Amino acid sequence: MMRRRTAGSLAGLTTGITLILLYAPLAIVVLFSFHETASLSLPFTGLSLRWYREVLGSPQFRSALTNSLIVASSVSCVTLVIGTMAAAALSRAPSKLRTPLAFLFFLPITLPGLFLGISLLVFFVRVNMNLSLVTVGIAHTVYVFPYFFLLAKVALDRVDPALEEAGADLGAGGWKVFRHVTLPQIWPVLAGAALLAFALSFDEFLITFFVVGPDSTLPLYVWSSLRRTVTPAINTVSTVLMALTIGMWVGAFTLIWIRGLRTPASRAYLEVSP
Amino acid sequence: MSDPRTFLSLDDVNHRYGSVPALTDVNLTVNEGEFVTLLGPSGCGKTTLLRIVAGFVPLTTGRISLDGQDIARVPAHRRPFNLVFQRPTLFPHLDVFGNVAFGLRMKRTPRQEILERVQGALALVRLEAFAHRRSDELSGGQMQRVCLARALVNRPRLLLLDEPLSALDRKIRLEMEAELRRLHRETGCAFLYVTHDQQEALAMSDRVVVLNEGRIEQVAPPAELYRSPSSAFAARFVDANVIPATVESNGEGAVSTVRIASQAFSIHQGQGTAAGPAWAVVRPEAIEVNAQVTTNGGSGLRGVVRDASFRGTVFVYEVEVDGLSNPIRAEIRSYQGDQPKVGADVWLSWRPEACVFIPIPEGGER
Repeated sequence: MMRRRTAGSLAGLTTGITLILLYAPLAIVVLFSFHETASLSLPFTGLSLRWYREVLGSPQFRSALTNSLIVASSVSCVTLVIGTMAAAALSRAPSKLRTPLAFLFFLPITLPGLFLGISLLVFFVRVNMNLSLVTVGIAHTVYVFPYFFLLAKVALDRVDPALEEAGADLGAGGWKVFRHVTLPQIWPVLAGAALLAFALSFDEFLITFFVVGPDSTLPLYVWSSLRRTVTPAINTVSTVLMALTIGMWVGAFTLIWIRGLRTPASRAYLEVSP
Repeated sequence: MSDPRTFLSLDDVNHRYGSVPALTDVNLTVNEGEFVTLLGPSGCGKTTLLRIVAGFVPLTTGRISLDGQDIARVPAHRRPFNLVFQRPTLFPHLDVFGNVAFGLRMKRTPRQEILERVQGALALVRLEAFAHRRSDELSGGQMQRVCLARALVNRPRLLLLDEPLSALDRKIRLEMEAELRRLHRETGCAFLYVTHDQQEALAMSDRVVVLNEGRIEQVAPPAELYRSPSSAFAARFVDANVIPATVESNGEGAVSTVRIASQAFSIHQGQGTAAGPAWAVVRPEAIEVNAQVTTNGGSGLRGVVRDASFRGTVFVYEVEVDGLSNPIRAEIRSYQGDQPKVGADVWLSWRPEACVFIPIPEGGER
């Protein structure tokens, strides 16, 4: 009994320390974003929205935020379309080709961001593309595609192929089957994966650093303001970035897990043992 | 196309999965309003044949025609047939109404007509009250009835059924058999039904097509298949005794002799067989089991009861006969007195006309 209690409290302690290590730095950033003075260290003297006013009023911040939103939403939309098409095509590919094709689609996930950034930069220069938000968007699409594809494939694999046959049998041609049978079963996962693509693009720094032109994105803005003077404004920018990203992840998680994958898959669910 | 009511015909259909032949020289017709059953063990090609008709499996060689028109290249979604699958395939994102309305919506049927026809179809399968249930709130039997309604609402020329009862409990299965017979009567739609269950096939069909290893063994109405199977395979599939025998012709007479396990029987000419080795096919319920020598106008076979089981209306006996490798199965009505016990010596006999002879082809058993 005694031993069990000790073990329990030890586990509790470990959990507590882990959580503190994970969240304390974040909490400090958030806390100091509301600090009334320019001091970046304790003691904490009082709350104020002064840094928020300053940051949100800054034209550089606003343009970086707008750029990031434009890039992230374009990347998200483009990935949604091509990723879904790729996953749907893969599920109809000859079975011998499926594994190698899936592997090719997943492969970029293993590449280090540094490598991806440099190789894309070299590519853009070779094809004489001016570096701009367009190149950032293309680079981000390459980067987020495998993640989206992975989730879309999982969702599609859960759809019972017999339901697609039933749809065809009831008079739906190829596209109509996808639109009226497959899509209604997988859209929460697709929407969640698109949000995830948005979040991944929104706070991407390394690849962006190589392929960005004269414009700036929010992570680049954070980085460049760190190189100048460090003020509590940096905490504010980070907090905004963090809040948006966490919001996206929570949204993505809710859609993918709660609405998508936790509901019974039609394939497994309808399996009736004879 | 001899029968004017024939609307679907398959001619010389062959199909291969890689190098494995799945169907060989299949010829089949379906008449308006007919209930045709494809009967055979698993792997006999019956589901492949059904899926060729549905349009899910492309035809390798042969012809499939509807009203005389070749439909081999018509895709599944344009064929006026609907399929009920082995297990329920309800769309999980739609309720019962949405599932049944699916086919009509794909054809852009007017709203009011959809409403009426879906309600009609649900009434047909007695699920009017379930229109707004989700598919996971139904039992297995109810799901299959929704699938039936979903198919029949489209008023198909032919309803295809791929072992639709095999995933259900025995009791529900019997109810659904009756339901299917009623739906067939009430809709007048032609049914093409696939099953491995001979009871189902005999109970429901107008014609039964017995398939074995991708070939058609026999096409016959249930009673004819039951009484006079034309091959040893078909006979075994409807649970008849298939006993090796030798027919000895005695010239001109109306009666010849047949030997089973070296015992002689008399048979009437016209029970249809030439002299030589043959299968004697006897229904289990046509066999009498007696403790004394009985000949019943023919002759008797002596054997030992190896197993007896009570099945309600009948006792089923497995009787071992010297010289036969398989025991003979006999069914005796259970209300008759004096049941022999396991181990008892008995005499088996049957009326000559209860036995059908099938010549054994060259090369032995098939």
